[in-house]
Amino acid sequence: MLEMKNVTKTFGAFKALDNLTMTVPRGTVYGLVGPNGAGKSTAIRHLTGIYRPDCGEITMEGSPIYENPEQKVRIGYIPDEIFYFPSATLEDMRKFYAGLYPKFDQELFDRLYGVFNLPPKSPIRRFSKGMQKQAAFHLAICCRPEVLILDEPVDGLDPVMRRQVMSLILSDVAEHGTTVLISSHNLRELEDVCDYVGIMDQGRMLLERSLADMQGATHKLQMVGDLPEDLEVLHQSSSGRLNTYILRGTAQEIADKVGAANPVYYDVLPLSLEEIFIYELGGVNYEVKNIIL
Amino acid sequence: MKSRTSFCNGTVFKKNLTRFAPVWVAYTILILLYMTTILSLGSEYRIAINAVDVIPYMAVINLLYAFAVTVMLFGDLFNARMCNALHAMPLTRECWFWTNLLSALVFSLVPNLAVTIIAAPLMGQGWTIPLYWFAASFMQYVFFLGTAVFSVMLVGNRFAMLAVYVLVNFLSILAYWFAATLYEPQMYGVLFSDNIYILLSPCAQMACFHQMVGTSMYAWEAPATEAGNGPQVVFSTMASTGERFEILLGAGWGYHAICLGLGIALIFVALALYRKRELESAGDFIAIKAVEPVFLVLFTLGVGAFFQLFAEMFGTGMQMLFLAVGLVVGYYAGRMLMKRTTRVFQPKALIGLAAIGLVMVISFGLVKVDAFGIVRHVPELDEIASVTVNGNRYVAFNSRVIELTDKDQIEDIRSVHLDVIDNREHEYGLATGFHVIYTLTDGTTLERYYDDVLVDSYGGARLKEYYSAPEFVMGLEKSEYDVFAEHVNYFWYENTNLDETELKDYDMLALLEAIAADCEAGVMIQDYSFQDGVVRAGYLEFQVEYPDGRSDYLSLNVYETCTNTLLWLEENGFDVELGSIIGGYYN
Repeated sequence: MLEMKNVTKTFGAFKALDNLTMTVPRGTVYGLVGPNGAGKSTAIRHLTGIYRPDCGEITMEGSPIYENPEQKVRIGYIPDEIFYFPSATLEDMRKFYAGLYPKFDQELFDRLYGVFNLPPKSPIRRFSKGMQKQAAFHLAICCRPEVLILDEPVDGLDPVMRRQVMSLILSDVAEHGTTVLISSHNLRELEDVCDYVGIMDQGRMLLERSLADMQGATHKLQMVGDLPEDLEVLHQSSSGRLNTYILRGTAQEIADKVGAANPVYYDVLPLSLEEIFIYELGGVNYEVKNIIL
Repeated sequence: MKSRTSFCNGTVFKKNLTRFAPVWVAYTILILLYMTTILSLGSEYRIAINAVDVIPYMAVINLLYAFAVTVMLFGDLFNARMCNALHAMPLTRECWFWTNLLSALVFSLVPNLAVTIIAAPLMGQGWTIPLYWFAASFMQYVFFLGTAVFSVMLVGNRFAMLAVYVLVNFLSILAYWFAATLYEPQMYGVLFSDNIYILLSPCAQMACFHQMVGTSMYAWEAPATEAGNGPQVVFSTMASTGERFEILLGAGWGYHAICLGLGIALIFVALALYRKRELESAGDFIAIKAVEPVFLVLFTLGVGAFFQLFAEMFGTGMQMLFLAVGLVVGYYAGRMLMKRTTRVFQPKALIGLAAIGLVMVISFGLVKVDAFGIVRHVPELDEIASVTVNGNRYVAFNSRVIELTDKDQIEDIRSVHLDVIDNREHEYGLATGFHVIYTLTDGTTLERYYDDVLVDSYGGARLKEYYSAPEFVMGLEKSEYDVFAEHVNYFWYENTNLDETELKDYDMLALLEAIAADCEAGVMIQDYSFQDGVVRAGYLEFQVEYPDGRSDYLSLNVYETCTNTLLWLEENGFDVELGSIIGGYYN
């Protein structure tokens, strides 16, 4: 669906994207994570056709996005810093968006007034930051995009509204098969909604995989007793007699091998997304703990 | 699925019109007031005359309006948030560009057209002047719009936009100012003509900047006149409205057409720059990297010249030191603006400063030693068609001009000129001015001015003869005395004023002849430098009105040595009292 191949972008002497390659499969919710300055927003600005890469390709279903309105009209984008024309009301912006996006859903727009409770005739610049973010969702979703690109989408929203916005996104995915790319530096927030995750640092993609693959391939084992030798250990810690291991392998494989060794006690547990990244990448010289908040 | 985007986008166009409505409405009201004020003045002839006070300002209004419109429409490129959001939308850059440009044209075209259509029938003064005005104003606007859009694409913020817009529109004047400030003083006697610089600065040309200052404003030789106290447009009643309007434009239709073409060309250059523009440059001072060195050099030189001028204004005598300091300040300030940081003092940065300094030193050195022979250049006799000489180039009022076509006289002036150049390092002493304009046989002119010719030098002695000549002192040929004397309508001598009626009892022709005799005797010379130690004996003034409407004015100092003039005054009952000694000018 969305693809970046070997994209490099420099700002003066600073290399913001360094041979970045990423793929967002159709119909997935893709979480793009990384610390501040990792290049997430820069990557998104390339995917939305704002920035021109120094080298590399950015395509949507094989067609370039940059300066290609036919592809860009299929993309809904909510930037990290929201933009509205000064003194424009939500109704003014509705007209503007409706003029630019042929699939703009006027009916949905009216219905969403009931969800977000935003005043239609007040200048948006007088809205709070959270309300402005809601207004951005209000507009972007009504464009009926095939791809929704969200840069730090729930920053500034209260917990209730975060949940509401996320459920709105997921219902859009469920109903229309929308592909969603969400960037965030908060893995916990993405864990519940993402199918795919890509982690960036210093302009490079460190890891890109489906969440199911990640969660199915690594597990936490807590046991009292000796660990069988044929298990691949990523990390080990002890508390009294209780040993905790991070092991590569499916839950069934681990349980079978550990059970065969008759330990005093054992339990195989799933890992959180945050733990997976910490332990997966802990061995390849990345200070993952520092880059995942 | 195909989007609703194309060459021009209706939604963006409508948004532009509504979002910036207050500005173009204000512009409409302004030009409506202008147009109706002018059209209410009466006859077409009078409208055309009075329009001269207004039309040049339309160029200034268009200069400012085009800037404002461009910043409004293209200013989103300066704001990273706006810029990113808008360029994520399904429009190409071409579409944004042409939609905004069309909006900008409509912002001027519609108000001007509407005002023309409303004002012309309303005021009942016909369509000619309003339509000419409309055409001229629109051509001016397109030019300024072109420069403004071009400037927008070079820069990344509003301050830089203003700086570059001023630079683009006034580059030639700034270059002139720079040359006149820094190099002209090093070139003895050389005058940099401002005509070419103004010609290359369309705003100055179209707004008649050169006519807004100076006493020669609006001078145009033609028989018919319009009397008044201020600067006047003088043109023939036989001239068509179109011809009159062309004169009023300050720059003709041809010039406007060239500017229109240039404006359109700049619009296409701006589009090319927009295509190349990296949007992350929003907020930067200069958006196009290749332009940075050019800007830095111009900025450095500008600040350097300003410092030098500052030193000159306050007479510190340390112009070169101030220039050097100004160059350093300008260079690092320019780098700070471009880099948006104060950390610009890296050793590597010295290379640029050293290069600018080296070019300055070399150019100063070449000018100082007159490497190109400009200072020493005096045209050969056979190259010269005529020579115009006067004593003070700045004060044409009291300093009459003589034009010489006789080869011997021209050679005489050449010899004075060569003597002045050869003796430029002369000693301190009483000095006079020598302003010479050679009209060459190929039609070009060469102008020089020296204000330090010692009166007791060879050049001073020769110039005294010319400056004493009756035609130089009085500005009259002998054959003109009787006409002049006949039409004197006011005469003053110290505390005595005579009007036209009272003057019938006086023989003005005899007075003129007495003055001429004193001129011939070399005692009526008006340049104070030649009258050192001589006591002044009053002040004569004549005002003349000729039947064809021309007027003239003559004022003369009379000295104790002007025996013929004093005799006429005493014989005609004027109280002659000797006054004080007038000092001369010391170089």
